[in-house]
Amino acid sequence: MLPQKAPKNASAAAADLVEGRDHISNLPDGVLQHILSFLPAQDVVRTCLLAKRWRHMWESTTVLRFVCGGLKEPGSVEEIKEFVDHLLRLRIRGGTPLDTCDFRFHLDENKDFDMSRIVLWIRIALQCKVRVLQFIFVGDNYQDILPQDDHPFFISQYLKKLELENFNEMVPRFLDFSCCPFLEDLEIVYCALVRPKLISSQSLKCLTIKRGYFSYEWRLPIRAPNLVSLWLEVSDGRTPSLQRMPSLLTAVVKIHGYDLNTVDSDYDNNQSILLQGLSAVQNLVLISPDIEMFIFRRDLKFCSSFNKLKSLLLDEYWCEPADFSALACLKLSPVLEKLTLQLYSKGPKHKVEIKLGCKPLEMSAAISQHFKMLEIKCEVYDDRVHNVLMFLSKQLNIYHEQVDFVPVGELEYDEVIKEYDEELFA
Amino acid sequence: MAPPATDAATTKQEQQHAAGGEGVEVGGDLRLVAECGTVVRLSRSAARMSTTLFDMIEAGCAEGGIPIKGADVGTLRLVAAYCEKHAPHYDPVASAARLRDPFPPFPIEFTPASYAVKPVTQLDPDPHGLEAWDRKFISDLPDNSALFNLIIVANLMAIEDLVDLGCTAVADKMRGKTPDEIRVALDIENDYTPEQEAEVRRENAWAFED
Repeated sequence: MLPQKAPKNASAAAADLVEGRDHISNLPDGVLQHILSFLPAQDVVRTCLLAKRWRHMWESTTVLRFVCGGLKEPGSVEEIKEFVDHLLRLRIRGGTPLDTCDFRFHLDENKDFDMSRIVLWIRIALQCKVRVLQFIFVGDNYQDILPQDDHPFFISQYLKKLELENFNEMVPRFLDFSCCPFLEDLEIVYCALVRPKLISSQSLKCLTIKRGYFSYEWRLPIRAPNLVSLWLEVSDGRTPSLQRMPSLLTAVVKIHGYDLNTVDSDYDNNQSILLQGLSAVQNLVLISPDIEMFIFRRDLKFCSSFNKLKSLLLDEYWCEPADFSALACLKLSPVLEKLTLQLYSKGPKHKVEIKLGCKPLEMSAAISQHFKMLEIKCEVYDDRVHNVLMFLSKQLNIYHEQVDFVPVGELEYDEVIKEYDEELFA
Repeated sequence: MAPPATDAATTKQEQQHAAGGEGVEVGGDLRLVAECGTVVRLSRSAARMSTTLFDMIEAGCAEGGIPIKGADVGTLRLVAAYCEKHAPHYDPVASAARLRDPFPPFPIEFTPASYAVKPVTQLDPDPHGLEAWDRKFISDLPDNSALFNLIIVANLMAIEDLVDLGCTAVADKMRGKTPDEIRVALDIENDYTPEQEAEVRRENAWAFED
């Protein structure tokens, strides 16, 4: 942490405050290194020419960012591959551990890039004891050359965080992190997760899968028993199955349906796919733009209860079928305090936001006795929203005093108030 | 505003931060003393953005004037303005978890709450307008030396977010430029002799192939 550097260097820097033009020499080495850590690797190496003080500064940088395709950057990875080779080899020979290695590559549209080179770069980075490794590809012209063996791909005693974006060449045990005992943070964005056989890590605390494309043939098991935070977006393919995560605090699950009602719903041997794995969570978001997607509703049958769930966010998926039986999930949450319903509206800003302070009716079995607040976010307060509110209000005393409207746009404030007064508080 | 109220196991530090954030003003503003002796006031909730000051408050030695060695009044006022602006939305745990300085000399213990993702479906990238404010804050600085002084004082006071802001501003002035252009942009004096410069260029010729 920077505080460690500050006391040692700051008084020295303060003592020789240079009067005159070259104020940058007042900055301690640690700060200059920190500045370099934001720059592309080529810019970093070239600082050797700035002044004597900078001659060797680039050699001890612990962050290497190999980027191309952006403004003022080389056009594609073809142009920088020799540079990357050279610098990584110097690092291996030099022995200074790397902390972060960041590859952001544009692949040349006209030429297939040799993946074995990228594999080599990954291996060198891991050998340099890298703790944070990031790979972002743009484009997808590369040859399928990853070693087709059955070993975990990532082997490291140091890797702490891994980020992959548009990285579609994965082998079966690519996401098996049994040889990365300190991996804590995994982020996978816009990747094809069709070939990996499982995602497994004992140490993982934070898992983010955004726009994941999964296999149609089988469900990817996710085994991360010490996970604390989960973000799972299924853009296509069968929803992965979640093993139990007793330390989970927060989860956001968004499923675009492959698992629709038309697909074989007995495929899964009467076991929970998602909800049982999530059952220890405290803050949960479960949404799906596809009403036909059956996983959430089906899982309610195989899921015992959410004993620690305090806040829950649901969307209009849960308001089907019309008898609101899917909202039975509320029964499973004995300590639920807050429910947010985001109905027919994507956010983050909604036209209508209604906050209702509530108390559950005594003897109400369908809702937690700790329940305090119901929030509804929608585009327009129409019949559909009204019906949901009516259904819920059968279980709740809603306190008029805490009604809080944020109507924006064409909705007439008075119209909404009038509807409320008539229906709820008559 | 207190950090997001997840019921994560809170460390003592987080609870203290939370208490400070809720405007519990025990003891009133801090008095920072610049090099010239002028006092710059800083509210307690803003002071918690400085790890140094926070530790002092915890240790009970933040009463009276706190000298900030080497800091001129102008820079100290800027630092105070930054902290006051950011304090209401400061989440120390999220700040620490940003891995911006990914090579600390000791392993970071990630407490569970550092991964507490807010349960919203789409995050507003700049919900409190702080990024826009930061950009203006930096662009309003009169010259490079003001920027460097800001970084020095922020570093001294261990205000990581502000150090980052300053360092990325400097990095932005270097990005994609030739060494000559960088020297102009940052007022760096070239103390190489022509022979030395040629030698360095030879040594690292592989990095200059364009």
